[in-house]
Amino acid sequence: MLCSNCSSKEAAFHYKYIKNGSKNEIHLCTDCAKKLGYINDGELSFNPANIFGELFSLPQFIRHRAPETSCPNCGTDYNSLSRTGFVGCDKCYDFFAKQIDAILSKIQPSTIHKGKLGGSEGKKIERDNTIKGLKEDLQKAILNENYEEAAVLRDKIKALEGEGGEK
Amino acid sequence: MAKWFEDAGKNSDIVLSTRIRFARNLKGIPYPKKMTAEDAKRVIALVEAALEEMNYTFTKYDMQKLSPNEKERLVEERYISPDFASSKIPSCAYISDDNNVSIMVNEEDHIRIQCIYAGLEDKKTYDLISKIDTYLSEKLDYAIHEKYGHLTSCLTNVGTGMRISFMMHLPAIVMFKASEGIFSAISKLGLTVRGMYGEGTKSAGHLFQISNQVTLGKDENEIINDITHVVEGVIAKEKELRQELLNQKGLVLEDKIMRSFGLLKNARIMQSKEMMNLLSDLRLGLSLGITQNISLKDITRLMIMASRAHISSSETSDAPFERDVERAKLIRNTL
Ligand SMILES: [Zn+2]
Ligand SMILES: [Zn+2]
Repeated sequence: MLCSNCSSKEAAFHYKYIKNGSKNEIHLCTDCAKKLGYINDGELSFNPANIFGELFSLPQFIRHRAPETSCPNCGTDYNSLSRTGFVGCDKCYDFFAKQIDAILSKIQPSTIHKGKLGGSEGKKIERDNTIKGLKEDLQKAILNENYEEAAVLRDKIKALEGEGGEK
Repeated sequence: MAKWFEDAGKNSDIVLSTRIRFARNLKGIPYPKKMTAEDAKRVIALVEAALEEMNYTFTKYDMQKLSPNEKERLVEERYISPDFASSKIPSCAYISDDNNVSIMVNEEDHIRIQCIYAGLEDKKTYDLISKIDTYLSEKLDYAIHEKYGHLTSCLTNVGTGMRISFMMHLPAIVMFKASEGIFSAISKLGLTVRGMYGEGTKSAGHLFQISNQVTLGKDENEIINDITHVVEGVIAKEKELRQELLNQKGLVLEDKIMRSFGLLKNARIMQSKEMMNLLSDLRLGLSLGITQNISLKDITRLMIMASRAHISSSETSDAPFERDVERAKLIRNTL
């Protein structure tokens, strides 16, 4: 297999990575791998797990057939959204929910937020997500007949749900 | 307190600054591109009230009241964006008295919080911005989504709303013509590299900015760790090539650096681009111990203090020649 960078030398380094759930590969000859900074004196200098794949950019936004409608709250229409990547208000996220999800899954590694969220609403969402995760763990624990762990998880869920009720 | 460009931090010989910004919006109010002047004033009032209660003091800069030169100075110091300076709707910037935080209200998003430090200071920068964001999130009603997290005006910022960028000085990588390969590898990692002053690899002063593109699906720490890992790789490469440069062409390099020093020390007329390139040589010379005539801090400071708006003596007249003379004078006085 030839190097995907210079396409003249035999590829010696093969990296696989997952992006948006699909597998991608990169093949480089030793020179190009060195030149591109993937290896340093034979050692990996960048973690291949971090390789995100091709650069995304706005012009690559996928173009759906444009709905003839605009956001009732701010007037943003789908054409301008897909051309520029800009929405006009919070409501756009509901109004163009499907299209926005498609664009986000194209330009981001996942469409589910993992970072911090502040404020009381943010804390509630974080708590709900934690509970959701714990419930999944609980199911797994029960399936594996790991009842001790299941009891611990159940208590945790109860405690979190209780917190939500008080506030 | 010292501004970022009057200071030095970790790896300052290669990393000039670490900057993080968070994009935030308030629930129920159209985003700046679609908002009315009334909406804009309301957002300013809400943010200002929240900041006033904060145990951290800010100075307010009203974009509708500042002169073009005052605004451009804030752009040159990187406390506000060029777009913000030309904003058509009511908009204000709040800069902390310690000069590490700036908050733009009604830029592309209702709120843009930004923290900046000299050097490779990802932790310190994140800790500060996170503290301010947490505080504001309790005082203000942020627009958040249960799946996407923070909602932003542009879809490229949704989620964490975070952009972290490092300004890097990479003369050896450029001289060894390794920049194209390294930069294309970096962009394959979901990061962006761009010249700070000019396009692509032809950036004046060999200054480049590396920043993240991913904002959704990874948390802040993952994003920061990923990019910092790459930046450390670039630092190691630049160091290795600087040493190589010294070993291969020691005397030629020394000659070039000392000539640049001579020009800076003696010129009577100095254009901005020329200054950037000469200061780049000086910065390289300093890190390799070839010259000791100036400190890293002073070089960064000169870069900003001798830029267009800072060097302009008068508010209204646009006099490039006078600026070049003033610039040369400032450099001579600093060296
Ligand atoms: Zn190759
Ligand atoms: Zn809308």
